[in-house]
Amino acid sequence: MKSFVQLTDSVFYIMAAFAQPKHGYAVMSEIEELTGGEVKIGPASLYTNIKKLIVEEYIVLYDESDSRRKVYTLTDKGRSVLRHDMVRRQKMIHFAQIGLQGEISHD
Amino acid sequence: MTKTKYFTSGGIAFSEKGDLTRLKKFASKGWNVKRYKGIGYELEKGEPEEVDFSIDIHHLAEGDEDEYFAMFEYAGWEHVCTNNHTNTHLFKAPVGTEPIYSDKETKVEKLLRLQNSIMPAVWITVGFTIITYVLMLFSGGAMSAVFEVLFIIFLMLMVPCISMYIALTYRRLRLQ
Repeated sequence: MKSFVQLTDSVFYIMAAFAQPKHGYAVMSEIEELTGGEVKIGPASLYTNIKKLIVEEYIVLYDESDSRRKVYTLTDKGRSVLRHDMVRRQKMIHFAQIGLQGEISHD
Repeated sequence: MTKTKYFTSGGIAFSEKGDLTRLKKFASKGWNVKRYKGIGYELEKGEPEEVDFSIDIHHLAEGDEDEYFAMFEYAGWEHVCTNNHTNTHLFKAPVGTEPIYSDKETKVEKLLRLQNSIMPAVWITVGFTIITYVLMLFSGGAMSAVFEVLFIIFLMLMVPCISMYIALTYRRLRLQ
């Protein structure tokens, strides 16, 4: 399934933010806030990714009444791609947790 | 009357960083870039500014400009000028502002967009260089001389196109 490719970290964050309808720069500030300033998405990266997500039909224009603050939201396809990648990342973390626990028990 | 100064771009494919560093130096001396002009930038004498510059490349569809520039503004990047022929947009921000590209993938895509925009010129010059070379070899007398001149012209046009292509490929591979 071609659409279920691995998402980059940036795309993962952006899609997660678009789970609720939101405009572009709300996405930037929300990601920065929720990661405690650790992750910052640059405006050029955000714009590039929004355009790509629209083409892939992962997000859709939700409200364009304010041309400076167009609102987008995840499509059903986008939701299932995000969920799929979330599970992939959960497995990764789980794998690391098992590994680290093993290390402790050997001590 | 405002004093102006012009400086020629080193070509965004070759010296994007070089151009941006020079614009920054000029700005710190009060020469602030105002617009794209010809194959370079026009600067105006004003107050010194400590700013960083960034260039982005995007073809903006009608109705996308507002949103695009608003995103940059929000991130602290002020739009300086746009070259509509090349779809390049110049931005400035106080020194230390977070970069406009935050990940490798989208940085690579920017270089790819630039590369795709020069591909027609690459193919046309390569094609005509080959055609005129073949015609030069297989035609006789005066016609051969005409094709030789054309061949040299196309060859001279082809070299910068190919160089741009190589420079962009190199920059892309270094990122990846």
